[in-house]
Amino acid sequence: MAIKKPYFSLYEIALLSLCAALIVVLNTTFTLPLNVPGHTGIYWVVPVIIGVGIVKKPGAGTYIGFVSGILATLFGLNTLHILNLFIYLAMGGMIDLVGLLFFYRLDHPAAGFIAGAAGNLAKMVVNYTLQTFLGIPAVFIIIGIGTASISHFIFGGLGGIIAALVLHRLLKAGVISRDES
Amino acid sequence: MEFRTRVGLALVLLGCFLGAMVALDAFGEAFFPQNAPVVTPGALIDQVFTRAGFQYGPQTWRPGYNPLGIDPGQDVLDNETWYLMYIDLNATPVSGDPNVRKIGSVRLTYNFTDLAGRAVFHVYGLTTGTHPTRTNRQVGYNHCGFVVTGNATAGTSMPAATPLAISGIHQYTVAISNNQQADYNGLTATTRTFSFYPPAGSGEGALHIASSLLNRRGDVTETPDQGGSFYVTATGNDPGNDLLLLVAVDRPQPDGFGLRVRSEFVRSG
Repeated sequence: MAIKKPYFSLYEIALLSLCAALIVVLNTTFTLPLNVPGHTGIYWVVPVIIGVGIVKKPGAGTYIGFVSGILATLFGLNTLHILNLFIYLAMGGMIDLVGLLFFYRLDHPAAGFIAGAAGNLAKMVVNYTLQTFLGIPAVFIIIGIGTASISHFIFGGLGGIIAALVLHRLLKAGVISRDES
Repeated sequence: MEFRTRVGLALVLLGCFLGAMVALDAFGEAFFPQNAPVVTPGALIDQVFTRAGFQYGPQTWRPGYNPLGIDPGQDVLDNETWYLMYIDLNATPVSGDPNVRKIGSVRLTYNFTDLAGRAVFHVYGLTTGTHPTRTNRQVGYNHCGFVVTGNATAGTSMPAATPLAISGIHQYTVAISNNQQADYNGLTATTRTFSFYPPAGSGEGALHIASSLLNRRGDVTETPDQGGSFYVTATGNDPGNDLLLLVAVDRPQPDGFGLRVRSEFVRSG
């Protein structure tokens, strides 16, 4: 009887889980006193893009989002508790989609920028949707949403460029290759 | 499709999304129905102040990370002399934080007697930790304030007022003119501390003075009406835990000067 090959190998699962844990560590370690919405995206998107960029399989980002969402809920990282899971899933899922769109060439700064910005914006949209769902009047949410969108875009994009540069260096050093499988 | 084409397409899509969000920010308030505001019964303060309440001045500025002007929309103007009074409103607006369910603003009703010249209202929200003290924006985008003009004859002096010194550490302890409980820092019942942290301008714009709840981001109102009301609203996630009203007048007030201030919580969510 043929043994069914798992979708993610053990190596990939370990790598993606480490990336997920890294998100929680970064979120706990760095508290930048910027007071700008979405500024955490500058480090939040980095492990997701690196994970997706190395594994290069649909669902890698969603897996990172799922694991980091569970961890963030357990550690009580912010106010939405179990609903955090949706925020992390949204970011991971969006970076998955962007990875597919760019054939997983996330080591390119432009692709990294777009992946980071889109992921951070997806996080923002889900966050605001959940808050509206929890009873915050929509009028409070839309006040300043333009500024918040732009800051999420910029900080997520910057994080994406950092991730792309890291991926590029890893490729250049031969730690990973363009075609792992 | 080429890689570059995909990059271009993705950027166009993101640009469209950002444009939509900016448009929603600018024009969206009209599309979302708001609950009718409900005034919580009972005033949080209802007190009459005399000219003895002006404990600071003459000076050209109000506290901020860097000194702020007093006339709404203006930086510090050296040729002005203002006298300042701080009033603890015993209230705070509540913005859209998901941890709270009592979203609302503070309605402030004022009545002047024998006001000479211009009186300007500003607000401060006291915070804890390293969060900077909140205040309404003085200049630039979304600056706001409330100005009342009176035609009484000016007084000759403000005996209770002395100028506040500019602080090198961006921290000011001011006396309030009404009697309140001691604040969270364990200071006396009559003092409050403003703490501003870098970068310059942080904390500004978290609170707003609005003539109507239809414009929660505040506006500038100039009126000759000696009695009226306005709202203190918050749109950030931390409006502070105590609200101070700054009343500034641009000349000495006559002996008969009086200001009645009444604050109420208006629930709107």
